[in-house]
Amino acid sequence: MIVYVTTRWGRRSLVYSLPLMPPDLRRRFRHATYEGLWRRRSLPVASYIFADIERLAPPAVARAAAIWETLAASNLPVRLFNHPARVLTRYRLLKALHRDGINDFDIHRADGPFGAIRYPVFLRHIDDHKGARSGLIGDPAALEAGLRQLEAEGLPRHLLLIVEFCDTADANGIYRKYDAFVAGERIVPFDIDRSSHWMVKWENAGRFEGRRPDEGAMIDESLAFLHGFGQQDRLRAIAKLAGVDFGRIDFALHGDRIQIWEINTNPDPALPQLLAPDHRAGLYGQRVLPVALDRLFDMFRSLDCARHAGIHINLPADAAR
Amino acid sequence: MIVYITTRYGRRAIAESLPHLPDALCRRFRLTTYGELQRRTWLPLATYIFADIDRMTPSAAERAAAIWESLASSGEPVRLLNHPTRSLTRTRLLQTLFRAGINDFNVHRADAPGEAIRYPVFLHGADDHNGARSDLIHDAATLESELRRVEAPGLPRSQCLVVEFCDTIDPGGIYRKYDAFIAGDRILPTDMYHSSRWMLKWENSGVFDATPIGEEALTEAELGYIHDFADHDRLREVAALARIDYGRIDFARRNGRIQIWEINTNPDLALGAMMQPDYRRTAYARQVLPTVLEKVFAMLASLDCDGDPAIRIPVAPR
Repeated sequence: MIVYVTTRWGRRSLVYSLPLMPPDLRRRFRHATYEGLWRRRSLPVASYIFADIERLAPPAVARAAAIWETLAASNLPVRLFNHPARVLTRYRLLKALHRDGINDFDIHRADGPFGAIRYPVFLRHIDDHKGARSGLIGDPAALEAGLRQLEAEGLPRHLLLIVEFCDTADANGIYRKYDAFVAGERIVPFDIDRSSHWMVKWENAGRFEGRRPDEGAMIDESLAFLHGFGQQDRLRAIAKLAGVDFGRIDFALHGDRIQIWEINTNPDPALPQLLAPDHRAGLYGQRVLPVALDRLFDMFRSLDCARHAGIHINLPADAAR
Repeated sequence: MIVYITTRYGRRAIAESLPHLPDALCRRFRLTTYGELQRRTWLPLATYIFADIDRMTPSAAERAAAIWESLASSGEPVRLLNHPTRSLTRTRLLQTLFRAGINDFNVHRADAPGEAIRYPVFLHGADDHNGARSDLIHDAATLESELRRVEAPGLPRSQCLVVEFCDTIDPGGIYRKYDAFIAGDRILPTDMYHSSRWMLKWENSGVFDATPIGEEALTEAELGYIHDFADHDRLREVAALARIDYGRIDFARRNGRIQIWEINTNPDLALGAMMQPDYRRTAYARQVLPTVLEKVFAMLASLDCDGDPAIRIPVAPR
């Protein structure tokens, strides 16, 4: 059994995809919210994925960590993914990756104090997954204006990060965002999104200004990523640094250097979109998707632990309450 | 009507006290959570207290701010106390007060390296009201090991503050913490605590390592605080800097100067505890509490607005 724990806000990611998983896999999953965990007096032996860490309110981190520690100390064969207090959330992660020479770009809290900023930059929210909140900003005056504008729209500086732009476009002006899942020691390359826009999101993937790249070449590139991505050790080390045992790493390549955008601890498998008839009918849907999904489902299965029906771990009254 | 909004975790602070309010005052209050608010498409004309803002995640604060803006721009005479994103939470408040020369001590985010730290320091949750998470720390190596120690039980660096210790002990070895409520323009001194411990909480108030102070002397000091407090303007200035319209300021004095520890936007009125028979027999309860409660109830009543709660204001959650 795999217990997948999210906040109430984050449950949609898994819940929408669950019905479209193979039946054997679907049966292994139990979705729980953190609020649901607080009410439990005991928990079964299972795999626990503490997902959606960035959305946890501060008191919830301590409660979730207390449950994690209780399960870990049980000496029963539970498997635990993502320690709620040890996972590095966005700011700490990107800071650490820059400090360690992995990312070429730095980030800064918008409410300062910040040192030298390398322009251009863009603004993004400190903890959501909605991408950039500004266009590219070229100088301090424009940065100040951008911050003031967002402030007027209800987004004050302490909720914003200044991200130094790292240009990963290829010679044809195409940006690529690579997705790879982390599942324990496994790294599972899953998808490449491409766009002419520097902020590649699902919504603008496949949109190109000018000449559209050859579809066959894109398919070959995607398959090569799935079958032969050569930097899995690098991603494994990054996941360890981040304290993330389960999640999806979003990254780009700057030359051949990996540049991490984020690690999402509650990744949306987006099966309703991926399995939509028009998506399946295309070349990607026929040639890449079956391979990607096979690997995804296999990865999910690998998270499970041996069945120990009826064995429960008591939670002390003060563990989560 | 006064709509009091908290996170799910913070609901208890007000909920346990409400039954102990005078009936007429209790009936004015409606409790709700930020989560429940998000499901509303309209809200009544009322006073809204956006409480407990320290405990919100950034995304939740942004969503609550959208509702605040809907209410503010409705053209109806709603009263809005505390802004979910503009009111300063602990880190920004204490850094602002240090820069403004009001506090003598600074605080540092534990995940923001490279800032000059004046030791000794202690660790504190950035968003909680649980007091110090460490003893006094005198050097960087111990700070690092303490940050690691508090991580496993659930205090990641992103939620941890390094607070420079500000010694407010008096010549007799006693620390004092003062409480005062903010309610709009009103500042209401309510309580003070005394202890030999530098981290003064309700739990260790009245704990003295050497000669205890007699109950009568404590009561006299508390009455003096309530009746003779003269720094309303200073606290009003602090509340304005913090952009906080409702909450409780916890502070101390150092060489006569006010030092702010925090402003709690979801203060526990603790009326349940104050109504316990043991407590009611103390000199404080007999001599001080009636005056304090009378003022607190009047203050809460003053928050209400005159509008007709039957008027519905459309809101657009984000």
